[in-house]
Parts: sequence; C-alpha cells; structure tokens
Amino acid sequence: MDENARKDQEIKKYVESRNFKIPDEYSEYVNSKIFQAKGDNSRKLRWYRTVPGVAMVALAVGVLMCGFGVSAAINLYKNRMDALDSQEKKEYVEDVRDSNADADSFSRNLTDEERERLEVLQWEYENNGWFPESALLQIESEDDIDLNRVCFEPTRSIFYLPERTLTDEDLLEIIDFWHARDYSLQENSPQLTQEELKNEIASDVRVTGEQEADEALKKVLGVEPENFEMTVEYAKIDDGIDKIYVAYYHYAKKGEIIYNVEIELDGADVCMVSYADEYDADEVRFNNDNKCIPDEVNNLAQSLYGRESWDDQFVTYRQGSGDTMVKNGVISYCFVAGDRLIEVDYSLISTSCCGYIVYDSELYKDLTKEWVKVLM
Amino acid sequence: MTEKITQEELTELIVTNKDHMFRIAFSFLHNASYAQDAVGETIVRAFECRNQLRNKESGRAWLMRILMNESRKLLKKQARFVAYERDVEGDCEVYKVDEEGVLEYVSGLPLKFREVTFLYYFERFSVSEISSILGISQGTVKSRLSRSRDKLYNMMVKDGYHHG
Repeated sequence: MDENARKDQEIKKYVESRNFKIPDEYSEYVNSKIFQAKGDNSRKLRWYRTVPGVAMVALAVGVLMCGFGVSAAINLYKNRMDALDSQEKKEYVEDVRDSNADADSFSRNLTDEERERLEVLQWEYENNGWFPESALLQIESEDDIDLNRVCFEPTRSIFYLPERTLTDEDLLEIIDFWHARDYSLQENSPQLTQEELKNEIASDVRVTGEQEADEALKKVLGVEPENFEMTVEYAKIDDGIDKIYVAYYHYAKKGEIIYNVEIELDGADVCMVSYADEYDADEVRFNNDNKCIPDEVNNLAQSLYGRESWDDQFVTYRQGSGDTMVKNGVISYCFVAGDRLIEVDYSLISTSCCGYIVYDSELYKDLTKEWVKVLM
Repeated sequence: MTEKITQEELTELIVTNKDHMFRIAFSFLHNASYAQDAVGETIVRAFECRNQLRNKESGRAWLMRILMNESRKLLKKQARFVAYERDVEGDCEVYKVDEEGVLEYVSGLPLKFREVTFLYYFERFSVSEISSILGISQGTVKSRLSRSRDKLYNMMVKDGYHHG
C-alpha cells in the first residue's frame, strides 16, 4: 500500500471514531418530509380545486337534483348513502376530527389517464350507480399497507396507491369513500335547508350573487344567461374564525348543466366560471404568439378581479403528446396579485376564453407543478 | 434497459442515507437548522424529479448531487444575511467536539476543497462517485484531495493519534 493510501485509510478510521451527534428530531423530520413529498399530489381534479369538501356534496347532490333528472340514479345514490349505518358515519366524522392533515393526499401522482378516468367514474358513480365491489381498505399505519390495492390512512389522510395503473374498482373505492365521508360530515353538521341558508345569507350579507354570476358568464364565455335555466346551490363555510357564504350557479339546457359560476357572496367576488366541455377538445401546438396575452384575457382579469397591474404574469398548460403540444387546446394565462392567482383559461381552438378561476398562489404552484410554465 | 426508481425505493434510499445527507449539508452550512432544511428540500426535489433518474444504480450519487445543489442554494441565501454564521444557539452540538481538530480544518477550507475532502474522508464516497456527484473529473477530485491529505494527517497526529 502506498503512503497516500495508508494515510487515507487512517484518516477515514480516525474520522469515524469521532462522535458526530445528529439532532434527535432529525429522523422524524426526514420521515415527515418524505410523507409530504410523496403525498404532495392532493386532490387535483378541477372540481375539487376551490370547493371545500362539504360544499362539494352540496354541489354533487345539486347536480343530481337539478341536472340530469334521472330518478333511478338519484335513488341508487340516495340508497347507497342512506345505507351507511350510524357507526360508520360516526367513524368518518371522528377520523376527520382526529386527522393531522388538512386535506387528502396521494402517495404518488395520479397519471393523466387515471385522473381522466377518475372524472369519468365520478360522473358514472353519481349518475348511473356505478359502485365499487368492495369498500376502501383503511389502515392504521404505513406498516399495514397492502401493495396490491388502494389503502387509506385516516390519521394522515393519505391514500396509498399501488405502483401499477389504478383499475376502475380502485378508483370507485376512492370515489365511494369521498362520498360516504362527505355525506357523513354533512349529516353531522348542523343542517340548514337551502331555504334557511338563503334567508340567513339575505339577512347577513344581503347579496344574492345572481347578477354577478350572469355578468361573469357573459364576460368570460360570451354566453347569454337568458337562454339557460339557472339553478343555485348555497353553501356556508364556517371554520370557527371566518364564515364565508358561497353560491354555485348552474346554467342548464334541457336538464343538462353546461356552465357553472361560483360566487363568494360577501364581496360578490367571482371565484370560478367553467364550461363543462372544456376538456373534450383536441391537442394543438403552443407557439410563441401565445405568450402575448390577448386583449380579451387581459380585460377579463382586470374587470373581474378589479386590478390593473399584476405582480407577475405567465402562461401554463398541460403538456400533450409532444413537447409543445397543448392538452385539450386550453392554455391558462395567470395573473399574480399578492397571494392570489387569477387563471384565465383560453382555448386555442376557438380562440376565446373558456374559464376563470381564482386561486391561492401557493396552491396553484402545487397543483400545476407538472404543467408547462412559459414566462412572458 | 434501465428501470426507473419507485417511490418506495426512493424512500429507502433517503432513509438509508439520511445521516450522510445531514452531515454533508452541515459541512457546507455549519448550522444544524440549515442542514435540516437542505435535506428537506432535497427530499422534496428528489420526489419531484425521480423520473429523471435514468439508472437506479446511481441513485445515491444522484441524491447527493441534489443535496449539494440545495446546500449551495442555502449557502448563497445564508451569505446574504451573515458572512459566516456558526451555530451560536447551541441547538446542535454536532461538531463542537472537534472545534480545534480536523473538522474545524475541513470547515475552514475553500468550498471546492471542502466538499471533496468531506465526501471522501467523512462520508466514504469513492473518487468516481465524488466525480459523478460534483460533476468534475476524477483527476480533479484526486488533486483536490492531495491538497488536504497531509494537513489532515498532521492535525490528526497532533490531536493524539498514533498510527500503527
């Protein structure tokens, strides 16, 4: 052994003999970071992005009640929820109360195919009575994970997903769980009928939001609301600190909901305008011209958010089959105002606006981290 | 054909190397809280980019490369506020056992020598692994090591080490 190799060996041995203490809490920190990183893909579906869980049920039920008019489907759904026994409902409520997490998360990102299938199955679950054969497997800790099926750990609110592609049964188990839990929570919370809630809103905030919803629909999508039948669902979000009233306006034709507008009633702020067919379009190519914000997008963001200058502006889109292909032909122009981000969706196919959503900036960053971001 | 790393494999890789990661980050940052932050950022980044790892076999070097980058980023941030901040709060007794010895010497080395020296002697990475982690040639690694070797050895002996 040459002199250098000998010295190297001795230095390594010497260094190893020193007492290097690592902070006690470090292991726990690493574990929590791993959980956070693995579960970063919180519920990413468009419909879940701004609507809190309990309000979602109001929306889902609202869609059923006024949208499709398929009484058999309503019965199937209602029967399924009614079949939950009181113990089961109590456990859902207790699990949510005892959970350390603010929101559900997945142990890995859903693939695009899984996400799209989830949306389809969500619809089939609500409208055609497509239910899973088994209930979602709930586990007490990570040690109990069954690698071949979806497992849910209530304490951390994490869905552990198998590495393989999720089957319809897997996805339906998740959907069924969400519905059963939301239904249990809703039943457990003090119930106000829509009429009572409407009266409370009238006396408290004195804003109905109807006019704002109509105007937003016209501005964002160029649609005349008079041509549609409009229904509304109200929700109250009360976290013990803030109380927020939200109204969901559904614009339908022949019973089929086509447009949705969400208004936060206190300030009559438009939170979301969406078009049901937004994601059925073809892919198109992104080009440099798309970096320039169309006037109508600029005007829309300014008029709906009431601000003329922004802290930052950029474009995002979901990548399609090629490097510059835009999934469904929809790009999103984003305007940052403090901790808020205003997204105006723009269809490159119809060259017109097709959506408007207000987000928390951090949440948006998290939700779209797999998307292509183009700086202006 | 190479196989991508799964979430479970990445978790295991991180857990197995977590102490190495901490020590390496500490050697850059001289502060336990910052070192912990660097490891945290590394974990998040590793999960985000796990599909970019083409070969599972080089997972450890890849993870350390991310850690180095995150530590450098934090070092730059730190430098904006404090020129050289030791862990004055005493929340970490980590390396204080050796204030006058080899660690103090290594800590005081310029960054490019410090990282090579620490990875080789303290974390037992091979020259080729260090070359891959730092993106420099093996020759450069060896030449930087040779600059520290004699000095380290002499300090060790001064510290009471008797060879043989």
